[in-house]
Amino acid sequence: MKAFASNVHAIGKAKKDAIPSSLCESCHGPGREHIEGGGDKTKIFKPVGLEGSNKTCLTCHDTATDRVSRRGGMHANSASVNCLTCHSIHNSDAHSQHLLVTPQLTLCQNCHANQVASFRYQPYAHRLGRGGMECSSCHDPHGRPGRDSLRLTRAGEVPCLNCHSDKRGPYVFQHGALAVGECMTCHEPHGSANPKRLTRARVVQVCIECHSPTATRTLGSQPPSFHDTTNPRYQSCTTCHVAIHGSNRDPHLFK
Amino acid sequence: MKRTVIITAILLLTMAAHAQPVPFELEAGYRFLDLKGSSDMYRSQINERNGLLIRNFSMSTEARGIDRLRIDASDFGVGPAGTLRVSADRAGLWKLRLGYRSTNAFSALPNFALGQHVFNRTRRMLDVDLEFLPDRAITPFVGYSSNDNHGPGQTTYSFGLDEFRLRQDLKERDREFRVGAGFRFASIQGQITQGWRNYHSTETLSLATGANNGNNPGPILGQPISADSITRTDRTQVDTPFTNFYVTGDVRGRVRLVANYVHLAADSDGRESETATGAFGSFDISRFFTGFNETATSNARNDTWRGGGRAEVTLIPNVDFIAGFQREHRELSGSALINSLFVNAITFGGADKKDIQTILSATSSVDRDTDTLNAALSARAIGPFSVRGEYRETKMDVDVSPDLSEIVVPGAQGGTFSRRIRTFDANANYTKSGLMIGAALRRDRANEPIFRTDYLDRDRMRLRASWKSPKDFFRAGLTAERTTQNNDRADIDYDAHMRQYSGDVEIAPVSGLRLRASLSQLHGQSDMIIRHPENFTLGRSVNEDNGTAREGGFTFFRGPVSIDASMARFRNRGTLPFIVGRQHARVTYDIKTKAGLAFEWDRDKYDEAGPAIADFDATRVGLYFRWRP
Repeated sequence: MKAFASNVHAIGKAKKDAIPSSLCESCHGPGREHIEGGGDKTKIFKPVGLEGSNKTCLTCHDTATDRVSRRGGMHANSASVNCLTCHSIHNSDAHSQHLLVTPQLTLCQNCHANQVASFRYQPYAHRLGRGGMECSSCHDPHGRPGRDSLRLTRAGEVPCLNCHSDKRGPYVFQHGALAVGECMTCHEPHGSANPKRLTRARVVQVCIECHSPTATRTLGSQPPSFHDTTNPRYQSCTTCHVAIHGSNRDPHLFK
Repeated sequence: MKRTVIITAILLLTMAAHAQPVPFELEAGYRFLDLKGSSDMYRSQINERNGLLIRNFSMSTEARGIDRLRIDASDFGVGPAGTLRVSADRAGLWKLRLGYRSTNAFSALPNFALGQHVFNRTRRMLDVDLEFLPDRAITPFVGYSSNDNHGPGQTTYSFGLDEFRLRQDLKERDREFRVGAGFRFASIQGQITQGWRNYHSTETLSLATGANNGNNPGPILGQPISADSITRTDRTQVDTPFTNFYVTGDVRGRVRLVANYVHLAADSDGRESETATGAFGSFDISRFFTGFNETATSNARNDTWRGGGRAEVTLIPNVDFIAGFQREHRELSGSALINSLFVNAITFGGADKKDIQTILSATSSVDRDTDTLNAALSARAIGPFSVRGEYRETKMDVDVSPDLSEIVVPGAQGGTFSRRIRTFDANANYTKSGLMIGAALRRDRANEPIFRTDYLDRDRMRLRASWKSPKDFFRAGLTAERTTQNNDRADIDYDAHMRQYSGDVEIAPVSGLRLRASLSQLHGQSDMIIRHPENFTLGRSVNEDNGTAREGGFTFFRGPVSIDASMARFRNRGTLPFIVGRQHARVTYDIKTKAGLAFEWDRDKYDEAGPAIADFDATRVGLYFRWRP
């Protein structure tokens, strides 16, 4: 009871660590028989699984936005994943936000083991679990499936730009990969074996795969001017094309 | 300084809260680092250094006028990343949420950009949101965010027919103010946010010590190229007002309608200036020259809006039909006026000495429209089954108008492109008595690529199974994922796949002891036709990841002692072969109920195949005092 006084659900309701019974009853239902039965657990509602979530959590938290849906989300309140799969009112992890049952990385790993492995083992990775970065920094766990689960900036941009604000532009000379594509055209968002979390081991590979003229007409497939890519000087295109995300000054993204 | 003030504030709050009977925890101490091998690579990957650290801090209390004040902090001090969260509430009146993050980003990769791109930056991010009258019909709110990034670096500059290393000093400041309100009237609720963002950056560059001769040791057309000095200053300011709005309405509890709209209009102004002296050349003006002055002014705009609607219809309890449409329009445009003066310019033959001025007036634009239509059937619970199927169609139209100065070789730099993707996405899960079996399948079919790396066909499949025994004595999980994507056009012949398998098991043989082990395997490969720019012959670009990770560990709790230990090894035999080894142990011992010690030991080892210029072996030992009054 005393511990529950600091629970987010007790804000303004617990007075000097005393919990009013009406607060308990808001989730557990009428408690008279339970008390009269000397604390008989069978005489009080215990929220468990989908039914428990429907009857308790979603009576207040059934919100929907353009991104969030409790009906169609990847973690919609279903038989396999429901509110109480990830959240615990009474036994949450002390250091996690939102009453999560375990620290976020451990929790998400239960189902998304491959993605978590990418963060843990790859040499170039966003370091989760420290410094405030978590899976939910970029994903909304209540979001709709696929790309709709991304936690956009308040201005509706991809989550990468929440931190990497310098890449927002706009620029006079845009790099099409960013202006038409997205960060993931060239970068892996979780962890990568490649420096700068690039999608390929060498920079020249990343660039040449688009900038190769062949019969099919694609954006940016004009060839670069003559470069001897067998020479190490030309194997890292960004040594010269430093302003690869866009430039206000140089048409060839040199600066 | 700012960070010191915040840490001091935390400690003062710590002392102030000491006498109160509230949940409280502080863990602070010192971390030692023993590093062998490449310091640059260690700092680029991990960057945990020697120094004082607040490993953990939590407190929750009441205060005058505040029903609940909660403060959480972790890893503050020597970094590389620390976070602070504050939440304060006064029931029915206001709600405050504050988040602060500080990160030290270091990058000095020996094999990237000839090892010449280096930075050591500090990023500090703050988010504050204050909501008034929570849970009322109208809940106004205000918010403020800042994102400061600064620090020294080194970059390269392609100029005068060579590349020169430049010292770099970067200061970026991003500010966002926002105001809005949430509303709830009967079955209609929503939120509107109006925000203003201002980004400002100043980058100053100067020739690095010893970089006078550039990267290219040889002469160009018989003339040695060198720089005596290069200085540049770039200033950019971007103002971005934005509006974000959504509204939802319930009809008889069975139909939910959602409408949304977000709009941003970013306006960027740039001013840049540069001077350089030395011996340079330029193919653009076909001259050698000894001095250079340039000024540039620029303006760029990003006008983007997205809007749409969705309907969620409950057919029967826990079975919903969902359909929606979104349109996004993005319009990027820019113009620049670049005034360049080449001083003492002479022809490549050594004649006609004079100053030459060039003026480039450039304009460019990109228009992009994306329409997404989707319809889904979601059966969230049919007994132990949950099933979901969705059809989605995405159409993107792009119109790119580059400035002529952007085009090195005439070709497909600009133009109009269109791509339509039809997606079928389905998943099914069975959950009963601790057993969960799930399968997911997704198929994407596109008509045209926009980029060469775009797929035409993509298939994803995922299988999951896990079982948890009653009372959590045993848990085991298996995951298998496979993605293939390709573009079978004969001149692209793009083929890629990614296969990942992982299995993990946890067992608690006795009370307080939990053992765990996991094994995961990853194989990814991409292969496509490219054209080599040095001789214009066709070739193939192949990239491979082929890794295996093994991890084992345990947690143990008994009396005043807790232990959490693990060791992991990841070996990649792909295009960039390497071995990563990670070992971790954390032991806590409560000397008294309120006080204890925590000991942490971490070892990270990185070995690349071939020359060991990037390898490192780093051991950190942390000793922390724990206090829980």
